[in-house]
Amino acid sequence: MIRVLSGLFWLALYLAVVLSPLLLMLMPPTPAGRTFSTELSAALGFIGLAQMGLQFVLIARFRPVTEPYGIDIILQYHRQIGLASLALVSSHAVIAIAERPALLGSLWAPGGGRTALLTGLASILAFVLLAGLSLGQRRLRLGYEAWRVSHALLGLLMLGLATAHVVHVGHYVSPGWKRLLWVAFAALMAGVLAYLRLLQPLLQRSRPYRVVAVEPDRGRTWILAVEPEGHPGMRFLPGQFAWIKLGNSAYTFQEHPFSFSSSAEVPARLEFGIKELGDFTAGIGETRLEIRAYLDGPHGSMSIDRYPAAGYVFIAGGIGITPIVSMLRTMADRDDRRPALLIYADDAWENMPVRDEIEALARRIALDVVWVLESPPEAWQGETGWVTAGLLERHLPDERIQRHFFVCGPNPMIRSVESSLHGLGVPSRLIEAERFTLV
Amino acid sequence: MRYVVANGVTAAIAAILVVAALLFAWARSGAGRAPAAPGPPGAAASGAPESAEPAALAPPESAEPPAPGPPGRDVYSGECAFCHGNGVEDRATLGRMTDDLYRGEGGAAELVDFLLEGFEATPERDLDHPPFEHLSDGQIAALLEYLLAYGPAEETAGARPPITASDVAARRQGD
Repeated sequence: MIRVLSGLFWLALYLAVVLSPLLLMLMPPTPAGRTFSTELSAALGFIGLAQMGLQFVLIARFRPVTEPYGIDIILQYHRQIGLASLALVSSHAVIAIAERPALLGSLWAPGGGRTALLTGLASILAFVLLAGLSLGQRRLRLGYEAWRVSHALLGLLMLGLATAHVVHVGHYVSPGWKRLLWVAFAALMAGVLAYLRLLQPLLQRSRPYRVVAVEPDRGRTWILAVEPEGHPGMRFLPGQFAWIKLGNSAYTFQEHPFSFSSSAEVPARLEFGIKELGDFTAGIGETRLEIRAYLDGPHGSMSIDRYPAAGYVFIAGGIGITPIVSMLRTMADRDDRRPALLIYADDAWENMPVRDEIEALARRIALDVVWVLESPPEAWQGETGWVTAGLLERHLPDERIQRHFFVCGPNPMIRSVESSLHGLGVPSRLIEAERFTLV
Repeated sequence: MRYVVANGVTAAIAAILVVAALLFAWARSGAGRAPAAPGPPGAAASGAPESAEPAALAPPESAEPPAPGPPGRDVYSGECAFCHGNGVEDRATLGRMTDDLYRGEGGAAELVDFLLEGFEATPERDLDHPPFEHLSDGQIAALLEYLLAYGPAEETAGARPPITASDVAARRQGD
């Protein structure tokens, strides 16, 4: 209940801030009204700028803000509303120029007046570039770190130019205190970025961790273990994750989110299951022991502690097993006897990470496991192929509406499984999945 | 479940923002206000009946076709009202500012240069102003006469030579 109220509070505050430019525009002294389309253009521009600024808060990982929704939801919102903001500010420019095409002419005129137009257009250009790099990061083969740096710099540039545009155009920002408010807003939002990139690393330096193990598991997966240095460690909910920086500097842009795979009951040793997938993870096995690690977390909302139920169904695909094994280990450490069913799919038997651990956990708690192999060995008697509605129908318990479902794996699998579960009568409120697409 | 709710909330927020912008535009535009912009005192002397509000001053979305008005007023409506506003007080304010500049050191030449070249913000003038060199010499002269007619009549009206198209042409050619 507190989480719901907290979520509603932040939502209301967000709407109040993003709509406040319209109130500010209406506060006297106001200029005379103009045509409908001109005023619409102005309103879209100011709302778009407020949205731009607030994105800095959304990505700053303030846990009081992210906790009610889950940071995956916040990041998804950031992507969606970011594109909506681009549409708003682009509409602002298109309407203004359509109203007065002569505006464009002043770009090449020898006299003054160009700054207002140039800053506005340059801001939109930076916004387009930022969105393009984000949407096309993989196609452009842009490294994660390069993308993060470009995203931060283009975001700052966009906000600064848009604020300069507002000040130079001058409409709706007279007298001076209105202009000052916009400049202060932009500075505050830039300050949030400074907090994320400068102050937060400073705080992380006072709570360092040390890499104590890097062990290979099946399927090109590694178990990275860290222990706290000079502090009690991190309390987390099973199923959550943290952003990890490895090395001596907490100021690096090399920071990646990984799910805890260890038990939430053992905060003094944190383990992460990491598969060799990208630039950074490809070299994870070469991580030296005893080097420093800095953690930002815990984050995430996919946890049995967040969704109490009479029993659980876990459906994992490949490395998606990581947060689920954390939940199972925690249940074992707590001597939690609630019934659990794990449907674990991967391409081959010899590639399934933490397989031995799961077999051992099945002997400690009330856990049934269904192994699903895409390429089974010859003598395989179990399930094969993908996690289909038919497979789920065969294995789901009869009292399925008493269970909570956790699905973790590749996005196509999550979508397919969710759809199948709906078809089998499982309501959406009982299904939890974490789609973690940062870009 | 969270994603279903989140997608709905995101769509609702986007819709709220667009609706708020539309409402704002409606309230601030002619749709939400009574159009009123009689000509300056000088406009009557130029032959336009003061009581007759030309349709050219009404917002463009007005259903009424525009009727011809005094040249300066039409130029204002088409070129200046976009930023400076279309109300009586907006025109009067700009008229007084124009009159102040006219009576300053630069006189009519500075006024003409402002329109031809625009200017960048300075500590004294905190906003940019775009150039309007695309206007004809006659349009600029008519616009300035129209705005100056809003100034204190006893100090300027009738006590100064009018700004003509040839004055503007001379400034444009760099005289």
